[in-house]
Amino acid sequence: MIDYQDFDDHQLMHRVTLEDKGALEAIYTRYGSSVYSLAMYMLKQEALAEEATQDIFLNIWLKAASYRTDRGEPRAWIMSVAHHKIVDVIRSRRRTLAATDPDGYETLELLPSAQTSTEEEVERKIERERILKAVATLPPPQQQVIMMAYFEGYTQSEMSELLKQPLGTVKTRVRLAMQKLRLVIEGDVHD
Amino acid sequence: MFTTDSHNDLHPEEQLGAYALDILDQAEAVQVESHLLACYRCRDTVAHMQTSAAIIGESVDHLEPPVTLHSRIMNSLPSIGVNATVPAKAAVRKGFTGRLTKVLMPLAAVLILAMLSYSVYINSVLSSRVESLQRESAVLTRWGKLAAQESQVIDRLNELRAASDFLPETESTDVILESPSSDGNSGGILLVADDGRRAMLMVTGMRELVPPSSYEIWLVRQGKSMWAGQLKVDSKGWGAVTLHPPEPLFEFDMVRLTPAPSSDPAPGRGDMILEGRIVDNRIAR
Repeated sequence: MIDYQDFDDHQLMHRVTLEDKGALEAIYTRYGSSVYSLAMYMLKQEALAEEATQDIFLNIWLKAASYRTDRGEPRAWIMSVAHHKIVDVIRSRRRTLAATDPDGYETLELLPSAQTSTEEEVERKIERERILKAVATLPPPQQQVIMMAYFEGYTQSEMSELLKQPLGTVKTRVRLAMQKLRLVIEGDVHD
Repeated sequence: MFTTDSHNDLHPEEQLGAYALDILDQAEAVQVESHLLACYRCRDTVAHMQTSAAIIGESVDHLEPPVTLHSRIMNSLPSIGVNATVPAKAAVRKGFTGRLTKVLMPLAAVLILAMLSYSVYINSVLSSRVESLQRESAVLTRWGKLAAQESQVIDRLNELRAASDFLPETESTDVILESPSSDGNSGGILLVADDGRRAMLMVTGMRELVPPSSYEIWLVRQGKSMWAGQLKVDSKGWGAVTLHPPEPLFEFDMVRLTPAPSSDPAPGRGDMILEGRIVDNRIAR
């Protein structure tokens, strides 16, 4: 009997490529709530979030072989797969949904506050504070494009139209914001 | 837009953040993806930026998924074989990777040609892979590129990509793996990067194990074995895997490949176990 708790994420990913369903189950145990939470937050409908989460873990099952260790930790890859799928859903539904009013976009309010006080939630609150701190270091225009890109799935061209800013300006904001976020988050980790 | 570094190499630095956020147009994304295949520096930058993006994604309120979702997911998993079903959106994505595959096919062939000058042994192993890829490509074209088969080709391209990372490193160390019983036609080679922290293991002539069983890779030091990874062998007896050992490989005496105990309780065939002695030649060079 294999105890999957003993495996680290890299080992679990490798076992998934070998069609080991127990390994995928272990990955679901570790990251299922993070993936579902992101899906719920971005899609705002339980049925859609459940369907997206199911597709995300199916994609992880089918595409695990494409994961490469030199492209980051499995956790980041899993969340990237999740984000990509959720954004796909948002973009496909956007045609039928009312466009977001960018003037009402209060970026920091997108990050909700903690509601429970379990040990796990306390850790999450600390993590959330860390991210808030990192995002808060960005100038407001950069915060805006990062939040619109990540949580709403807008492309740079779409943001250029919505914000009525030249495409080059939007690209520069995205680039500077990502570079700064990386420095702040990694610097925070290393402190 | 690409920028140049001190070696006059072009890097799409302005697009890496957008790529990590998945907000590039498809043509731009393909361009960046092609560059990433050959550029470790930009891959590293993207990996860090994707980690930052993932942290943003994990900042939302924590919700427990419905208990039924777990069983629904597990019951929906197909075999990753020819019968694999891909959701509609994933199929669209396959179209993207399909185009990428077309771009990569000649790239993979160029990589293999470069390997000819590196080692006769590696050449013989990977040349056979190119032929296999070309055969599979022809079949895929003829039969409308069935998604699952295309996925297999992409898997092999990924293996070749990993191999390509080592080829420019003329300072890498080779460890030949052979069957200790000297029978059977199996063999392997371990290419170890100069810092000993990265290695590529390729084997040929091995017996395919039924998934989820696989071969286990062990690093042996003073008689004690440390698990270092797993290796899947395909139906043609070929397999490759990249290793990132926790300690430099040169601190170990041997590398050994064995079938997983659960898959074959009585290993003994000559082509089932391989081992090679790790010799640190860096000082000699």
